[in-house]
Amino acid sequence: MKLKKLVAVSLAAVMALSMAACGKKDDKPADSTTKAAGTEAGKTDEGKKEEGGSEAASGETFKLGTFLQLTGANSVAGNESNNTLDMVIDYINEKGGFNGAKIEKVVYDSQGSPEEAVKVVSKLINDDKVDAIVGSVNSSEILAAGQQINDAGVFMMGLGTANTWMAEDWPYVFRATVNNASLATNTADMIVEAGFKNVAVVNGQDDASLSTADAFIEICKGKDIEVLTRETYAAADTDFSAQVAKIVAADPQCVYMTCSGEHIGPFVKQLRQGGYKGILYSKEIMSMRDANIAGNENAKYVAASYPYLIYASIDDCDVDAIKEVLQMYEDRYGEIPTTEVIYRVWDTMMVMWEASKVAGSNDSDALKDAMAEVKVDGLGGPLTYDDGTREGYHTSNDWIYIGDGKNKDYTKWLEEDYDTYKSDTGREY
Amino acid sequence: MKNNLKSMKLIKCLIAVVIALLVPAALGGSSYLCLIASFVTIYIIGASGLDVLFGYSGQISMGHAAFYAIGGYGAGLMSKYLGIPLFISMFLAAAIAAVIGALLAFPASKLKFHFLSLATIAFGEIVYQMACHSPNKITGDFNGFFSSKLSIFGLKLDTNIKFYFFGVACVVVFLLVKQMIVKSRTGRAFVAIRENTQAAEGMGVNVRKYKIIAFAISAFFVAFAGSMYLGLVGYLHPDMYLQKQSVLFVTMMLFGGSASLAGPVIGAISIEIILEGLRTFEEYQMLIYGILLLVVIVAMPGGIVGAARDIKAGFLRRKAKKQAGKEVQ
Amino acid sequence: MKMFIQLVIMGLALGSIYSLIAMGYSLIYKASGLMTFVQGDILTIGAFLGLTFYRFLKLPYIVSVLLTMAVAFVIGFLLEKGVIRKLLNKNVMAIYIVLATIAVSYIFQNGAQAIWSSKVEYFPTVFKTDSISILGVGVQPESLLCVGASLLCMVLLHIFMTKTRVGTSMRAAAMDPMAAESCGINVSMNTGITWGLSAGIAAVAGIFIGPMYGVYVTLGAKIGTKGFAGAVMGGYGNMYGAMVGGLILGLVETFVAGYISSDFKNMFAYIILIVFLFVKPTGIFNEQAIQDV
Repeated sequence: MKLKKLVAVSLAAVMALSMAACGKKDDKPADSTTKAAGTEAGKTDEGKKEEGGSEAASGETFKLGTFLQLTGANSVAGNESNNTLDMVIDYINEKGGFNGAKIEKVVYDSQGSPEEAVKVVSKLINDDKVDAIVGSVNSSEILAAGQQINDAGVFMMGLGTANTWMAEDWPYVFRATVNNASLATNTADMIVEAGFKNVAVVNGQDDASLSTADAFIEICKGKDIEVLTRETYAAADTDFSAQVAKIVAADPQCVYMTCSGEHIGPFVKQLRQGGYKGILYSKEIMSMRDANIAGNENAKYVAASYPYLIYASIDDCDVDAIKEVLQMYEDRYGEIPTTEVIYRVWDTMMVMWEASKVAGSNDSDALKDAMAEVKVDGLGGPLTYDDGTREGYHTSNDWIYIGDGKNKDYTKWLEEDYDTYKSDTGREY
Repeated sequence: MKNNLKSMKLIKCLIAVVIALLVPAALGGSSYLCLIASFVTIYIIGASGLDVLFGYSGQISMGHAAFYAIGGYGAGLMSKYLGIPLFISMFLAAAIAAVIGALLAFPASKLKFHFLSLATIAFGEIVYQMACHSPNKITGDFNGFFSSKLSIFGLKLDTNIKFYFFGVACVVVFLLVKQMIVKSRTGRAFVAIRENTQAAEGMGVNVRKYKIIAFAISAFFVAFAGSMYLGLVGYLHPDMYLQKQSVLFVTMMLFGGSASLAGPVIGAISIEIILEGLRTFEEYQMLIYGILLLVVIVAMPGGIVGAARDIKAGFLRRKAKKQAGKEVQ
Repeated sequence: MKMFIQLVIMGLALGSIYSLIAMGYSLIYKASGLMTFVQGDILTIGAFLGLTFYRFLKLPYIVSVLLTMAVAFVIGFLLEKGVIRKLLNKNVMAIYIVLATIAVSYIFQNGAQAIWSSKVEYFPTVFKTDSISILGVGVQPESLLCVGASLLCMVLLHIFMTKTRVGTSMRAAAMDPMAAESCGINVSMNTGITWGLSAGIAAVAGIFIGPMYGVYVTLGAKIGTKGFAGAVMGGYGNMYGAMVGGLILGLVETFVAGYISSDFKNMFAYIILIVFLFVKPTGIFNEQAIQDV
């Protein structure tokens, strides 16, 4: 009985605290009310609006809201994004911040759930009153919350790579990461370049994987590549043996896969064990961890079109800009990241920084309008926004994995090593 | 005396409704807090629906996310492809869910606890898979399903505050219906089945029929909650209907206390507040939630309402004892 | 034909993983009439423990396996003593015990992330070769380990439950705890041991599948539910049933994916389960349930 009372009392305490926590940010009046007042003043006088906005921001803080999946399946990307954000924010703040305003991050765990994303984004916009949003690596979460962000007129840069949410008419939403669908075109070109006539497709079922595979199959029709079979697997699946059996039975000249996260390594491994030794085109670049899980020999000949690579160690990297960023991450966290979200976040923040410089203001509308003039040297090539697509990357690089943590330029590989590959694997293609 | 008690209850309920209507003012009109409050209204209806099934008729379901999905997608598809106004298609979808619930209950009513929960888990998975691989991709599969926001006879519920008032109205209606059912002949049959199925059968209660009715009613409630979600958010994704959603309904119902009017209401409110309050813990949020949940279950099985009852009873007992002691003196 | 053979072999390999988990469920049910939702997460914890012992602490493989089993046994035992028994003593509705196991599963999953991070870890394989050829089909050696382990567990557990004194007293305890108690059977100790054993088996399954799938926090989530389904299809509470049920489920999955469409693999698995539940809830081995049906 006593225990029950104790728990009842402490539960009540927890709830009271939770309520206080919910409410606290609401009545943290000092800066939010002044800012509201500032924008209100701006509203009465259209001409002053921009001025008022920048005034409220400069010398104060720039609140950057972010929602990421920090727990559950596939949360490694979210956690590494979160780490990178902390790192970049310190880097930018050291150099003066956004027009003098120090960036302050507010992050919530969206748990990979669309419903949670809706809630936390509402909290970011209405409760924390953030100045801009960077968010989620999971495209489904952006799809769920994007309308709300756009309606509120908050400048947003997404971290996902699916083409779905960028296809929505959301003028406040930009991205500095790749678009999987346009990469699928590059990949189809890679297949044509090698002279392959048919392909087997396997896709995962997050919306990025699914929509990319859809786009790829459409593109294949135009390039005279026959799709022999299409296999799918569900998010929590661990076993792909039946899909592998069907692919092997179809005997394709090459395989295209849109897997993500923890599935890449096991899938590659099972596909190789199932007896397919040929080239495997992937929607994204393979991480060294995935290559380890797949096994070094198995991971060979995984090819992808992607702006940047993931390295086993900093020494393997021969791009100075990327080396610098990786070194910064290692100095801070003691290890280099396992996924490529570090580049996505870095590029995103650099673009946003440049936009604030161009605009001379941190106001969402000003940032949005300034984007057309933004030109940044991204980690994977130039980022430009002058074509109205709100997409940054328009170029990519083609790679193929040759084992021991190394990728090679695809065209070069076709010229130099393709024959060795044929004799090694005993394949005709 | 009995009338007195009844009017006391009525007054309590009226006070609760008045408080509910004052909530937005208390929240300072914060759009975010009103969104959370709107979700609470959705979950109150969902958890109450499950309570009709479990609390009163004693059947467990670990797959009610399926009906939640049928409500959401059903309402959305009907308004998108058949041009029926969303507000009307919400009821139609709930009715369809009730029929599906009844069809499922027809064989499922034979099963008990372990087997019934597994059967409902399987049913939930099947519906989830159907949302993922719909014919002609009508549900948008993994790309999700967009819908226009809810408007009732020309009145657009485009802000969270407006939706909240609509939600409160729905809660009042659904809880009234629930009370009416529970107090009726049907409700008494439910309780008889829950307490002792054989005895109920012996008394001439058509066990199967009432079990099916309970399933249909609860499916109607949960599906309506699902369609409310669509009206509020305007976007559906299959990942909202994983098993953890079903578990959330069960948790809310049990946390508050089953077989009562207040239980699921208190449960839905408490769980939502706890989940929102734990947000500041970022990646440790779910860990803390799990620990909290476990401690509460172990310390007070019977939920908050059950614990309150126990504490009240203990208090009365002690009072009685004291009085008895005095009398002896 | 080659594809058919491939599907059969792969299906059996997959099924034996389900079987291992299924036996844990059956054991708990047989010995205490209870249902749990933590088996899958114990599998995850087992994989992480094995990873810690084998890869990080560099202990010999067999020592790592045994240590993991021991730790998992203790976890299972404490779970019964600290949570389940407390609730049973309060005479609560069975659903609260189920909910408690769900809460524990949240704790395990998120605790694993807090301890081992959310990264996918690579589990080094113990075998020299990466794949063994059976009838021309490449199979990972770890899957053979799973097949072997599940067969061994099935026989040992069946003998343990039906032929030994402890097993008999466990069954007695499950049927009527009060009567068993009065016969001098330590009911609490018995159920504690079964929970420990089930946890141990699940953890071993975790170690075995680690090299195949990688180790991450949601590794066991789906396998847990599938294992449960396998247990019921075979006959809930029957060790042979758990084995056969798991294998059938594995075969159904690979064959649906192979000959119909991989889109419907999971859907069919659950449809078959629901059909079993409605038509023959006692399962293939016609195991009479202890208190239900």
